Amino acid sequence: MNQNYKSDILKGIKSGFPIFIGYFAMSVAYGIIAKGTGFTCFEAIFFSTIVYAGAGQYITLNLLNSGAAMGQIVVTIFLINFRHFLMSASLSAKLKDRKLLPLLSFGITDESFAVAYLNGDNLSSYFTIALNTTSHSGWILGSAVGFLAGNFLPAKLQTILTLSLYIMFIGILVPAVKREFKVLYVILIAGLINVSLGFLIPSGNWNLIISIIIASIIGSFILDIKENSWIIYY
Amino acid sequence: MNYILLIFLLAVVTYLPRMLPFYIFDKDKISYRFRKILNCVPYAALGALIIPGGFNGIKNQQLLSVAGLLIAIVVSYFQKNIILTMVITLAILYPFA
Repeated sequence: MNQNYKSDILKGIKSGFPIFIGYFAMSVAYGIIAKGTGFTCFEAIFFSTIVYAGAGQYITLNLLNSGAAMGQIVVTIFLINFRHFLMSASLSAKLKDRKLLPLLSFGITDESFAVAYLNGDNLSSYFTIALNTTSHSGWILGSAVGFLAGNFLPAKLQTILTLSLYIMFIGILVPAVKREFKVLYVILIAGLINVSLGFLIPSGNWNLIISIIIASIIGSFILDIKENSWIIYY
Repeated sequence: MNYILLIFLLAVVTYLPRMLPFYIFDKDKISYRFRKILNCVPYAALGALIIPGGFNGIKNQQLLSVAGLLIAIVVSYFQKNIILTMVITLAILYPFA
């Protein structure tokens, strides 16, 4: 029995490694900006450790730089991160064992969720926790490095590093579309709704979550669940 | 502003939505339709995050960002190592930054 857990954990670390790298790159950029916003080294790293929300942390820094109040930031980040509620719900439906849920759920982020979810049928808690922890350590490490040494990077590299989050998203989506073309419809519909809402309600905090919900509902009529189709091989 | 307090509050509002679903949604209790909807969430979420967020991925440089996204699509179409995709895409973008 112990062998199963070990191989699950090893698989989790292996699957998490690309995310580790991607998050490292992204969080170096975050660390640099955090320093510029006036965070102390402890605060910048603490943020990455207990909140652990890439896009959310970036947006927080943006809001602080434009003088937002604490209450405003908390509500905004709550709404922006609320999509993880849906992701946890999706994962919960796929999880075969339910161990250490408080720890497992802590590490649910966009990429780790996508990788965990698309990893196949029998989702194990050990795999997921190993995946999340590997990813998270990249994020924390990069934050520290970015804060302390980021300014030593060539300026051009500092500028383009922020794209790494989206490059990672694409790296996850393109193989999925190759496997099942209809997935592209869901992606595009979600994007379209988000852009449309962006015009109608420019500073809408709900836009992201509404887009995800509507696109997922539409998607449920376009796509069939054949569990095998959603497997991504790394 | 007390950044530590802010960070604590953000941790709470971030963690609760991540944790609760595991206790509310049990594998055996959800309908087929609902499972189908949840199945689309990863694609919808990433799609809504990239579009239009990725278009401004490199601050104030939409053209470069979109170029980067397109390069990433091409590179990841031909090989599925995410790290390699990132390295190649950033390497190509670098001279234009």
